[in-house]
Amino acid sequence: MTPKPDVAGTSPPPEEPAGRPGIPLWDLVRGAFEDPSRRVTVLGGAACLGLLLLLFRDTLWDFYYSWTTDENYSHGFLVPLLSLYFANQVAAKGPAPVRGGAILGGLLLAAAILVRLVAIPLPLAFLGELALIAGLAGLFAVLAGSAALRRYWFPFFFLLFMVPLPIALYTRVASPLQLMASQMASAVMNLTGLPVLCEGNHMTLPGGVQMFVAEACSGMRQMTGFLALATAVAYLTTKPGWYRAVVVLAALPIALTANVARIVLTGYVMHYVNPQYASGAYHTLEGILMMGFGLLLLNSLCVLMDQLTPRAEGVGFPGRAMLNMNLVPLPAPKEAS
Amino acid sequence: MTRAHRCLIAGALLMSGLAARAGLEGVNRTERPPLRRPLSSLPMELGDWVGRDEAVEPSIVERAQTTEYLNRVYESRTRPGLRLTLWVNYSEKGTNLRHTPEICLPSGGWEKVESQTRVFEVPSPNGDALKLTRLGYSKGELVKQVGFWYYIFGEGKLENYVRQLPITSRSSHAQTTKGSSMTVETFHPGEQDPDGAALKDFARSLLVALEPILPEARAEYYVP
Repeated sequence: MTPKPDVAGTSPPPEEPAGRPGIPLWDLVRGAFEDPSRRVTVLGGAACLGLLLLLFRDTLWDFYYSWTTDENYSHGFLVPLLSLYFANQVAAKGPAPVRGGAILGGLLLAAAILVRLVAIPLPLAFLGELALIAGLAGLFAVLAGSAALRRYWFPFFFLLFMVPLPIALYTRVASPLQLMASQMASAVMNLTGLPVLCEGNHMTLPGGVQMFVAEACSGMRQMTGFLALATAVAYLTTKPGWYRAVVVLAALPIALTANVARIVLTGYVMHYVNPQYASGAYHTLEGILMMGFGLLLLNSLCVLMDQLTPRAEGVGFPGRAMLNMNLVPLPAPKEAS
Repeated sequence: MTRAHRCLIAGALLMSGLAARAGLEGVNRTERPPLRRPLSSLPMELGDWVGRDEAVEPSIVERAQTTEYLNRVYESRTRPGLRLTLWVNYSEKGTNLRHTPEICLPSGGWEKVESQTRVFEVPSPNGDALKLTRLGYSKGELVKQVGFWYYIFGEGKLENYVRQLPITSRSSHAQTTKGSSMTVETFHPGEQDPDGAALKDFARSLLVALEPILPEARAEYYVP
């Protein structure tokens, strides 16, 4: 393929041969830096990025604080890394023409700056956090053009998963989930012969053993992580739109199911084994096991849906590789018959 | 448009933003005021009420995200048998504001009784009236009433105004408030004070006693 000249009249460097090992995103930046006509974009872009981060330094601190102190968002550190991974994948397609985008990007960047400024006197830090992502996208559009923004939209969109929800909103969502998980877990335990009295998030097991479903067990923690993971899987797959939508939407019931299973397991352990195994390191281990259970459910759903979609050549299910599961695939409908 | 022009546009926007930010920060410096005296200095006798401290489980203290707290049971001298539990939670970073009766009580199996919800006005020492919410909650046969109001200290008038609007009163985890905050909650059995007279009487005495403890730059809120 012959490289097309961009609007500035310069030709992008020849594309790397297919299959060459390396980091496409890094190669793209290095290639631009080595090209004297594009070096200004790299240097100016780096300077502008520095200014943007300086402008949003409080927001960056908020992120760091939330990710290190709130276990609901401890996955926050991974999100920018995954975004870079996705950007790297997009970069493998080669450079996008630098065309248009200055007005759109400028407006986006200006709006982000304005929101950041508004969040200084007003208690609207959440909007300031969203504005950082908008600012990054706007800056990118100004420097790289609208075609590049269209190409790289997902890495920017994915950054939303690093933003902690406002406390008021989080609590409004987590509290009903917490109650729902308690009620469902109690129902399961009662159905399986373990009588439980459920009052809100307090459960009383036989013998007066008390069990409290904490906010951490509401399912929100798994939900935020699962939602990010499911979105990544949906993006990476080449399946149809409905398949991707189901993967993303399934994150919610899967997180809730895994959480109910965790509470039921804790109840069984407290009643049949020893209440001391329902706290501390054992409880954390349960949490990890249930995360694995959730991943298994997500993977099973994908395997099931694979049976409903036509198999495309050379297209595998990316979720499986991501989930690092080595399940035996079910036979395709044709083979099964 | 050349690449250099693009860099210049972005750089100019960002530099303007930085300059505006510096100016805004200069006129909007906010501190997180500490309490002027420890909460434990609140008198044991508040008007007709006599109190005693009650221990709180460490797990509850941890979940309450409190910097300093007070948990007391006050008994009325004039209404024998009427006891009222006072829970005051001060947080330097405002993280306690996620704990409101409407969030925390349902998690303990309590259901809100809408018909018992009222907003009362109680005269405060500065001459104004403080608004507080009284909520009713039931669990089986039990009914309890909860009085609730809270303060945010140190924020400016603009923040105080915005908090009245239905957009956001509490923001992200790291920056819940720009100032410090304190919630005040009272609990007592519902049948002992159906019209809220005891609660208003207690709140009136409490406000007088709290005055030397609370930072002066404060805003009062009552919606749970």
